[in-house]
Amino acid sequence: MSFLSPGRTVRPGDSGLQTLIAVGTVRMFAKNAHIALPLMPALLFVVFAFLLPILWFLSQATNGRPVVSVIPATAEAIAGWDGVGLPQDDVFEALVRDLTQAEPADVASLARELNFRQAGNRRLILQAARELEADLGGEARARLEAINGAWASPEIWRVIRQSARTFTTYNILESLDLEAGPDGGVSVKPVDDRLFLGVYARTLTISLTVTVICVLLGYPLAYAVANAPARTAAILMLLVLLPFWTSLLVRTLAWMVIFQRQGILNGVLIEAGLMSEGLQFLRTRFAVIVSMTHIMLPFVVLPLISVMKKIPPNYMNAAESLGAGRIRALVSVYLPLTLPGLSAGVVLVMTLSLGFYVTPMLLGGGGDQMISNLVATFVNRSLNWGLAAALGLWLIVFAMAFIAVVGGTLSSKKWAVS
Amino acid sequence: MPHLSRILYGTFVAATLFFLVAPVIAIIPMSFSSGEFFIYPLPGFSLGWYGEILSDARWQRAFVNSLVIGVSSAAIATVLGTLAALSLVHMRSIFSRIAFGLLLLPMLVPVVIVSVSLFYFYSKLGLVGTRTGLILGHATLGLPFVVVTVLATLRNYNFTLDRAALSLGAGRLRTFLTVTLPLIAPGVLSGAVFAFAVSLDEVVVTLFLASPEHTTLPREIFSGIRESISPAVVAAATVTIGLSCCLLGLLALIRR
Repeated sequence: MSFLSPGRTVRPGDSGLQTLIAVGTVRMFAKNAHIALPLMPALLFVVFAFLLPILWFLSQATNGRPVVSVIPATAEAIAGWDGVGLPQDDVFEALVRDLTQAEPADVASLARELNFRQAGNRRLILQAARELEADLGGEARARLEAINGAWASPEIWRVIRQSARTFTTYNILESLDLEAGPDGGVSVKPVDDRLFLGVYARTLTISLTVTVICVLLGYPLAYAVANAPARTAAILMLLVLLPFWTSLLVRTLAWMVIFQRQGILNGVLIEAGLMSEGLQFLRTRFAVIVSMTHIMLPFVVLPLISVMKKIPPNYMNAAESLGAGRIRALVSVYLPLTLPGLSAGVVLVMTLSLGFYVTPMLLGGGGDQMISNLVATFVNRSLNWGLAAALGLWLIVFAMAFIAVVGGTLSSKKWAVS
Repeated sequence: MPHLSRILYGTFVAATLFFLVAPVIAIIPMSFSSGEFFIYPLPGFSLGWYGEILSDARWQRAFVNSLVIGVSSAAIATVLGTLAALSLVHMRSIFSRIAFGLLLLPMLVPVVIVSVSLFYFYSKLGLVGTRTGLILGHATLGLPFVVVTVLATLRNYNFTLDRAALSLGAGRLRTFLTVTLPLIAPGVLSGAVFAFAVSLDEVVVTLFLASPEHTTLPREIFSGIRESISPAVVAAATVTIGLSCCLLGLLALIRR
């Protein structure tokens, strides 16, 4: 960490980014305070009202404190258990002690957390806490096993062992459809129990499909706008900007109206004699892809237009006069020149598509829901922050990976000379 | 280009434009229908659905909320974003590139993650269901648009004018207010319009953070869609299309 000035010590809690910002801030202030100062309000605002909340939320994916804070003694004791058979007596004793000392609200939140891991755990915990309150004394193991036979089998103890850690990998594994065995080994869940891998694949497929269609439709359109006479170009531009400025929700609503069983599209199809009764368009993958393409198309067209307008027409003439055919000139001269605009458009469409929420929810069926919908569901239905955060983490990872890949392959340097 | 391929190309472009524009245009007449169903030809012309939303207290409140939240969040975003752009235009260090990236993040992070994170964060601060929380959330989403727009304007700004003012004895604040700001005003106003439009169209953050008394126009349209799509909802949607067109026109006027 050579960029750190010698006077500053790094506390273990500092993340690299915070340190970098702090150091950068100090340096800028030392040099040109009047230049850097106006940046600070916006920067502080984004960091505190946006970045830190997001990082805080995402960190819930590995945060085991909601469990550990309720049963601290158990957490400590169970760490020494090897996961085979039943835990030692001191673990039972610690749990009995923790449950009798915890506030009812905390017990409830513990029960909720453990229930995310396995349905039925809520009842188990609440029942144990309630009945331990009532009867006093006796050996811990016997008391728990008398309350419910489940305490005499290793499953619940494995769940507790896995959850009662300040840093838990449970949600990360779960979000990848992986499970940790009793011995700590990690394996893929059986096909029927997999929940998330299919949703990732679906999200990527939908986004890629939309991106490809947007490029196929958008490139020729952008070419037409960029090379039209000024007056026509202005009108065409307006036609691209009008839907771009219409809100996403309204455009989704428009497609719902069009796709309804008694809607416009079915009306046209029946009128044209193509079919005798309406087709089901709502709640289909088709509807999701068509409307997402409609919403995303301007994002690829607009950057392309601005790049294409800067390409002098005589480049193409030069290529053709040197003997290249029209197609050859397009592919080896024109296309490479438009790559900056194309990659900007592709990155925008892909990253924005990955995060779609409203459109799949309103136009898609159960099998068309994307990662965002799942994140929202886990928060809305059960306040399962851990799993929601793990899913959100993957959404961001996919977007970043895509930006890196496109940035690498579509960079104009690679293509220009060939 | 040979004749046939030219016709094919023209048709392709026309079809793509039709695909872009037709859905938005197609729903507008539906709001003037006297019937309940969305089918052409319309059974008759009526302004009844507009009367319904105009007289409904829920839609009125949503409209007012949208304006209040939009104006407040655009104001915050415009002030912060303009100041930030004034710094960024002079800076070349790696720090300024990181800062620029950070300021653009709200545009790129999936909106559900933003919403859920703010919901989590605000729930610890007691800001969920407050208008303040909603305004702050919308302001972050609008900020990148202001930064980008104002920065683009400043890149074409002649800073010799500032130096002239300074050398003639004006302070930095006076120079900014009387020389720089009037000259970059079109850029700043465009940024403000962008930020306002972002807030006006925003539905997901509102969905997570707004209490029933702070619902906005898109939020009300959303619940209308969930219940049953009536022409009243389409009438409200047409109103927002009209607002968007006004903003687009405003932008064209500013940039002239």
